[in-house]
Amino acid sequence: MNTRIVDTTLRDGEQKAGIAFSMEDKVEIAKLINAMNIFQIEAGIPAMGGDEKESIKEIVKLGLKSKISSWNRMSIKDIHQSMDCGVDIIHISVPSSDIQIQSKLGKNKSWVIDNLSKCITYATCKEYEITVGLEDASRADMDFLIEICKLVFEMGVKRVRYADTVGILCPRKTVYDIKKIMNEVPIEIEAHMHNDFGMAMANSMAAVDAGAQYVDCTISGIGERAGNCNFSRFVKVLYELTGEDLFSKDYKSLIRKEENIKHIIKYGIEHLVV
Amino acid sequence: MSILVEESKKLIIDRTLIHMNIDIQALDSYKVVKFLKLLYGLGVDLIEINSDIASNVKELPEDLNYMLRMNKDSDIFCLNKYKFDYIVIEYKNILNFSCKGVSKLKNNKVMLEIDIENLDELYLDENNKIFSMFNIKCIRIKNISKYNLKSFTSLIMDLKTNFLVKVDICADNKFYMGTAITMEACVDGADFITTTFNGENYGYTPLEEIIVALKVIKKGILHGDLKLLPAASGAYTELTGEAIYNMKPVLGEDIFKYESGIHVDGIAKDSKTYEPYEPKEIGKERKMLIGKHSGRKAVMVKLKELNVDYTFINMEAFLSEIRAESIKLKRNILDYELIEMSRGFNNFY
Repeated sequence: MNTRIVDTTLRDGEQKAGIAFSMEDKVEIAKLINAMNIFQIEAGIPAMGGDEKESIKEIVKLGLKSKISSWNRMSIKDIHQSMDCGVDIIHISVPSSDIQIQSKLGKNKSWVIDNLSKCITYATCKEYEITVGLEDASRADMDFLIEICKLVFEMGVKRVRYADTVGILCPRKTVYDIKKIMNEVPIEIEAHMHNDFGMAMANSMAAVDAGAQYVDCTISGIGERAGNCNFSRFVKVLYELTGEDLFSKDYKSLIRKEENIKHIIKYGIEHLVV
Repeated sequence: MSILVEESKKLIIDRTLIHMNIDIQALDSYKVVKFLKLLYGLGVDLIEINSDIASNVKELPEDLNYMLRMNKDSDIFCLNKYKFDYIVIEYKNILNFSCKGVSKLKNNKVMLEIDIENLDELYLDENNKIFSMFNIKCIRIKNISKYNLKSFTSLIMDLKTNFLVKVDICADNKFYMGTAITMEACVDGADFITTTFNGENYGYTPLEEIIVALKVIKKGILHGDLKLLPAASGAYTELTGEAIYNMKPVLGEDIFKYESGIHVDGIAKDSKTYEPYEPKEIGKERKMLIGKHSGRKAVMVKLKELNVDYTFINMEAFLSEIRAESIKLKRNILDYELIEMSRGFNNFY
């Protein structure tokens, strides 16, 4: 196994209502996450403009070992903002369930496929690495997920994010869905789990068992609603259950860095999970 | 009470009282009774207590059903104080009871609690000695700490067939998998589930997570009222003195707050886009906050809600100011602050 962590504290974590990072906060947090040997940092949403976009530019300028990615809607305008920041990876989020496509976008699956193709074509022309997020994958039609995965793989995308957007997965369905996609398309899977029923950890571990190579986490598990998979807990459980060591046998040092990040976050620090 | 999952009835056991970190001698009976009644209202079938609880709570509500956890002969005095549906005895302690103790328990139904690692020992005893000594009606399997990606069915069915018992699952939450394990076990044939309110704090399956998960994900029919959850949280905090983490699944006060433009837009169109269930189902309300991640629409909705006329407000400039202020404060903008800020941008003034 060679599990890689994508830390999304600076994107999904910050989307927790009531959290607001300054540019300095984001840069400091990125440095600390980098020091934890995390493979990738999802640094934010350039399309927000202003401080958010400038923060991402500053993080890129640091030249960290962690790869820097940015989150984008399925929009060429958004992707252009990401290119301005000079990130390593452009992540394009694709609403994939009927609820998301019809209720939120007011569109249909054909529109999604057409628009996604245009976005990937635009980004690949500029030679960016792209990952595609299957937003709300756990409530989506599997045939449609496979159709998206086949399309993006043929267009050169090597990794998709399977997102349990509202946290309704359980381990057996996680394994079934991820194996099904991997059997149909030779694409890498990144698992993105939410904790609405307290199952983000179980589902992230199940994703690893199913063959997912990447797992999304946040510091302290902060994120929308009940949050995301908690990074320090995940690496500990991964080590205890599989022996895979992502913290170089120095868990105390990792916790110290996590504490520093919690201190920067400040929000409800008295409530943050230790 | 109970919950129906795939047309099969599961009884819910809660043992919060046994695990909470408080001085039993100083237990406030009024707070205990209030908490227990709310658990009952949520759908809990059986409350597990031990002799300490039985001794120190003046009077437990009569209309609830109880299980007594017994470790030794001297705990038998509790049988004279309350009526118990089950007596819970750990496998490692069961042979420590005297003949007199065994005799006194002969008319009580026993739930035998055994570590999953020791289950083989039950099968190795060809004479079924403990089954001949005690009226064992249920086996509780404890210390299951990892999900089973295939099935718990054969494990559960073998116990039922061999020992003619019902099966209870008491998952260990040390890998944060208690809810996932318990949900799978329900589908795989467990008759009872053992839970603890806010159980993550104690290393057991959180009651609130499993009952809402079984209802929402497995379409279970719960014979209890989930709208009592906020009251139960309050009673739990009063009793234990422990605040509930603001992002705690199901119970946390922040779980239905939302701010980012994408979520505000999605929820305005259809709340199912970004919520797994309606907050009102568990007695909560969603709340939109304004801050760094808000978009124009969200600000306009909030101003309207606050009866602020934004006709003459330059919304782009106002939004920039909101974001800058939110970053400065490291939090969202409170309603009164937003009203105050809007005055500086409203050309009408």
